[in-house]
Amino acid sequence: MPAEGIPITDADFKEKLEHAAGVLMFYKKLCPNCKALEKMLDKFFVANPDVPYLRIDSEECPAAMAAFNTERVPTICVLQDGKVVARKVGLMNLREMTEFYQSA
Amino acid sequence: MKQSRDFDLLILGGGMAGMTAAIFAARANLKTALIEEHACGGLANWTNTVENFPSHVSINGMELMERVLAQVENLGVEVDQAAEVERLELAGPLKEVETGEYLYTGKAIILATGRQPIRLRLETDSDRIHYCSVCDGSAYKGKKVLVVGGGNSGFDESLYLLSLGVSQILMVEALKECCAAETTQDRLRAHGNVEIRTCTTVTAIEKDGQGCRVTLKDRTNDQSRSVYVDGVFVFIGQKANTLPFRGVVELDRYGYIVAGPNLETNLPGVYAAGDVVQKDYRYLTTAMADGTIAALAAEKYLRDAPAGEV
Ligand SMILES: Cc1cc2nc3c(=O)[nH]c(=O)nc-3n(C[C@H](O)[C@H](O)[C@H](O)COP(=O)(O)OP(=O)(O)OC[C@H]3O[C@@H](n4cnc5c(N)ncnc54)[C@H](O)[C@@H]3O)c2cc1C
Repeated sequence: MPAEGIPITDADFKEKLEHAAGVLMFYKKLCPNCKALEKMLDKFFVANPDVPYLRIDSEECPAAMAAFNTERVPTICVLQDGKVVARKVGLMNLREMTEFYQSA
Repeated sequence: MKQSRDFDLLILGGGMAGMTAAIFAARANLKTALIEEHACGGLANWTNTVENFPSHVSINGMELMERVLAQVENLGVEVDQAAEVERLELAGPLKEVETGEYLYTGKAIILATGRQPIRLRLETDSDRIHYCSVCDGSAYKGKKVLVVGGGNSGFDESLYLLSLGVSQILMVEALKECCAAETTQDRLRAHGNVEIRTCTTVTAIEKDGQGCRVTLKDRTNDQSRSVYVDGVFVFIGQKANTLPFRGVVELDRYGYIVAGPNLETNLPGVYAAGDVVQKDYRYLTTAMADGTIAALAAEKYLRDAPAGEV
């Protein structure tokens, strides 16, 4: 099952992410690496159903991109109480993602 | 112990070749699994516009492949994406593919793992070297980039980078002439902010502030010069994804799978399809043809095999 994720926009990122925890993905619709990462995340969220999944479309949300100092996609951030505690740009496999999340 | 999943046919790689094979196999009533390392679609996912695919004057590559995947899934094929292959057993009568999560078995297998971009072979401390302009191009709006490679990809991707707002492109090509299609070359050369240098190679890239300092060597006189660019995009061709088959499946000296007219390999029950096969022309349409033939040949192999043998 594809993991849907909660869409975050320029209009609501300040409010919704202020104290957020979970995995935040910056993506672009036609980006091949984003698509590959999404398939991996589908599996990650099946194994970790309690972890919140937040998504930001980089093309539609320049203000959120700037606020998170992010230029490239895909970028994955682990959030704790609204703070970025770990960040990774580019592809990861399921094993790497699990380690990345656990060590954050 | 990993959960075992048993099939008639396994297909490794979900690009156009693998997905076409899946369609033909499913319609021949073979219980089929398609195992894809990343996302189905393969290299076509990286292609902004495909303009030589019969039935579509122009279509985005990812959109085309999403339609093919929908057809595959609709036929009941088991599709496992983001599946990391950890072990392969191809020589015996029962083919095994062990992924991070499952042990797949099949009586036959089609290898359709395609190709991947060749990386620049340079030791560098720079993190400004990219292989995907869709993913990384937006960061270079108003900036200067170096494009390495003057083939079709180099020219197409340069046009795309300009459309994102990149302000200046320096393209280098190692050969005497760029080999991209004339029409694409004309379109790029018409831009005043593009400089193309042939007979030129990249010999070093070092981090320099927010960008990088690149050493370029002119092959006509061996003179080197250094230029500053904000980022580097590399499009220097593709190599076959055959590392897991080395020493088991017969490969040519460039790493492509050597296959017969029905795409059979040196191993019984092992077929190959698409860009991964040794051949002269690599397109979506030729990948489809390969996928078709490999699936039908695998079906015949399974039908003809004496009961209990496969
Ligand atoms: C920039 C560019 C533009 C192009 N434009 C066109 C065009 O306009 N028209 C056209 O006809 N052709 C075009 N082509 C060529 C076309 O994309 C290929 O011929 C076609 O994609 C080949 O399909 P394939 O299924 O053989 O391989 P691929 O598309 O490469 O698919 C192979 C798949 O196998 C997967 N894989 C690899 N290793 C493993 C493994 N160990 N386990 C599981 N899965 C694995 C990969 O992730 C990939 O999804 C273009 C190619 C490039 C690079």
